[in-house]
Amino acid sequence: MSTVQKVPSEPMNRSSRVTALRRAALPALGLAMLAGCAKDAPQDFWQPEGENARKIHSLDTLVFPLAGVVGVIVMAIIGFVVWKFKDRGQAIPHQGHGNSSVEIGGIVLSASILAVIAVPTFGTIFDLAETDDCKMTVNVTGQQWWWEFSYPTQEGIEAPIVTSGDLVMPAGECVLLRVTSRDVIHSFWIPKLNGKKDAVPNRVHTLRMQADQPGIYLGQCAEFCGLSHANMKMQVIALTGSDFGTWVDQQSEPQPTVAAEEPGGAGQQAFVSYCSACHQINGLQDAEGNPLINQADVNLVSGAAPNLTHLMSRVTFAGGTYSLLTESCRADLLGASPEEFGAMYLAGVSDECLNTVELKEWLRNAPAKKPMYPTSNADGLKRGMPYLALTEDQIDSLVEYLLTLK
Amino acid sequence: MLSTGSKLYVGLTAAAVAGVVVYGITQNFGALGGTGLTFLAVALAGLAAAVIFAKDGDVSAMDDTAATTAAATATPAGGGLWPMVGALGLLLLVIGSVTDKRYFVAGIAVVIVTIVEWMVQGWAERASADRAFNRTIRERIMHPLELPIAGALGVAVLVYGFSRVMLAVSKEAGPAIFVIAGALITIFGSLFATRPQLRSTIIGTMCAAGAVLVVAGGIAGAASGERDELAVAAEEDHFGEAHRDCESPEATEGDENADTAVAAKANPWATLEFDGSTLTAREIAGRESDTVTIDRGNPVGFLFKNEGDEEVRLTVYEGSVAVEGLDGVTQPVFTCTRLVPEGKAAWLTVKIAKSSAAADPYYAYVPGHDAARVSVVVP
Repeated sequence: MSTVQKVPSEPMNRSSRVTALRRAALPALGLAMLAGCAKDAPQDFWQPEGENARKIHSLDTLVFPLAGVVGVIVMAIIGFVVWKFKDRGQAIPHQGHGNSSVEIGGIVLSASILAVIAVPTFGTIFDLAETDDCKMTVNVTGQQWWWEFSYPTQEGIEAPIVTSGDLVMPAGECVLLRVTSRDVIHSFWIPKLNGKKDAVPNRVHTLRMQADQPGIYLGQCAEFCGLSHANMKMQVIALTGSDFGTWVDQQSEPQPTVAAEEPGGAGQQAFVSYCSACHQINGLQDAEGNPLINQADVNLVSGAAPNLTHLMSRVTFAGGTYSLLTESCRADLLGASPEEFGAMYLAGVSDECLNTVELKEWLRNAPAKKPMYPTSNADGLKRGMPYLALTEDQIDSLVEYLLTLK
Repeated sequence: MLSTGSKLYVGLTAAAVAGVVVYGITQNFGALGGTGLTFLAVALAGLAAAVIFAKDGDVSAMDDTAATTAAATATPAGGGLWPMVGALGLLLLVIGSVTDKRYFVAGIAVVIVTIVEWMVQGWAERASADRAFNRTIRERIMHPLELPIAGALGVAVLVYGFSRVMLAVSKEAGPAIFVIAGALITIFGSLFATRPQLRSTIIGTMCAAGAVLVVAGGIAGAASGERDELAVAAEEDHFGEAHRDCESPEATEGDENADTAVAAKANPWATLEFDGSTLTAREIAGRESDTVTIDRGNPVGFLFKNEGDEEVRLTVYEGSVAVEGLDGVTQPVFTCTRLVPEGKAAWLTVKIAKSSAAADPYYAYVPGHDAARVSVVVP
């Protein structure tokens, strides 16, 4: 039997380390540059698709090159000084104190550059703070870890609408969002339509939103907000004016109560038993004919859970984390032309397109699909959806019922 | 032979034991006071034993030289106020144990001060046979404690006295007094700063006179009571969290500075404007409406502007809650601003946990003007 003897590797000398660093730097730089060439980047703020995002983009195209040039000059000067005055054993040079010409020149140059940048920056800030020219208002409320969108009564909306995950709005129009939070600080960000806006408890911040074309514009929470921050996604659904009117009509309808023997009846019963403590379905009634009102205020830290009245009119669930559509159906929707997008979205989730696998996994054990705090806090309140210990039959019947919520 | 210090500890120990007994009988052996007094008695007994053992026993009766030169054998400096103060503290303890716990707490404070002061004094008087040195060493230990505490107490007395004056005088006289007091402080401060040659007795006399004036004013203010509107507001519990008198248009309390709060102007969910007969809601972006839609379970702020010609308040009906212990019985829940003078504004935070579908319609209104009403919708 032969034995293998390990030969201790020699420690890398200085010149070898420098050579290795040089070799690593080139690919790293190349990768960083390649990252900027991404085509399929739905959250790329360098590809604005709305008036407000374009204003920011215009500012970026001025500021970034300017900042880049300044950065390169500064780094070059630092590099030159480091190289020029490297310790080679020479005598210590004369130690002077200041140079008025250089200092004043530096201040004047910096102030001039900042002044040049300030003019368009302030103009953009004021433009983005405008609220009077938006025709519609939507209340946007963040909570761990999903977004609620509430449409107050206003022109074209006869009764308030509440939804989540999908912020539906008319394309080509300015929509004013009133952003707030129910628990911790979040940040609402649809990169292609506008910049970020913090959602702060007890405060309401406004954010203009406008999309050029019908379609889906993806976003996600941009302020670390706890365990499932990375899963706190949302999307803007832009529809034509007439399609938006259709959507409003759909959302304004309550759901009928399904008889026990009808399809979905068993699922509805399971919903009432396991889900209605937190989730609301408008129109659902208890055995005495009274509206079934959720008790989220006494069960959850945020005091609210997504309203599921028209769940299957949306395309995501679990706070925008998962698609309600199968991969191919979602790809079809994302690839739809602006002309055909509205009809496809308004059709809702069909039997064939329903992402049954992940929806069932979610119902089977939600905390396993999305990190949440499965146990109650000291006040008996939960964050997120708990494990409900549903049987497979209950899960099947629930999915059958949820599919009726168009 | 027991020295004065030892006698002090023995006496205090006896007083603490008596305090335990009295407190126990009158307060049914309450846990906090009983434990505190018991530990106080034990601690004092320990100190008494330590002093008797370590101090009184360190001079032998057979040592003739020590009997004339040792500090322990020096003649006590004489009487002091501490026995009287200590007695006052004990008296407060006893009175407080049967009347008001504030007296009891004050008694504890006085007793603690007495113990510390008397203990240090007793030790210092025996530190050496030189009385001047003994006085110096006592001051070196106690002044870092006494001076800041005495200063803080003096400031507290002055602030409290001044506050009594400001609460007693009319709202018109208040600013004038404030300006005069500030001007006097500035003038005399400048005088003292620019005339360092002034004798300290003159400065001390002037400061003392000012302090006496403030204290006397405070006593007079406290005796005359708060001005009428504050007294009425207190009776109506306008300052209490559980104020429920939101439906009354008759209360007279008004906050003329209600519109000076920064938050009231910075971030309202909606501005509700009363013009004397109607109430109009204006949400962000300037849309007027007779309906405000607010977040479910989330506090939102209303800015109420009174553009009418009388003092009014904004009241919001937030639904009803079950009355504890009474099945099926509910009571309405209102929240409201204080009375807002004409031309002024006030802030109101509203939080409604249940959807409008769960209750009677929520609404905001101006009591006394039933037509001035705005619906509050919670989706």
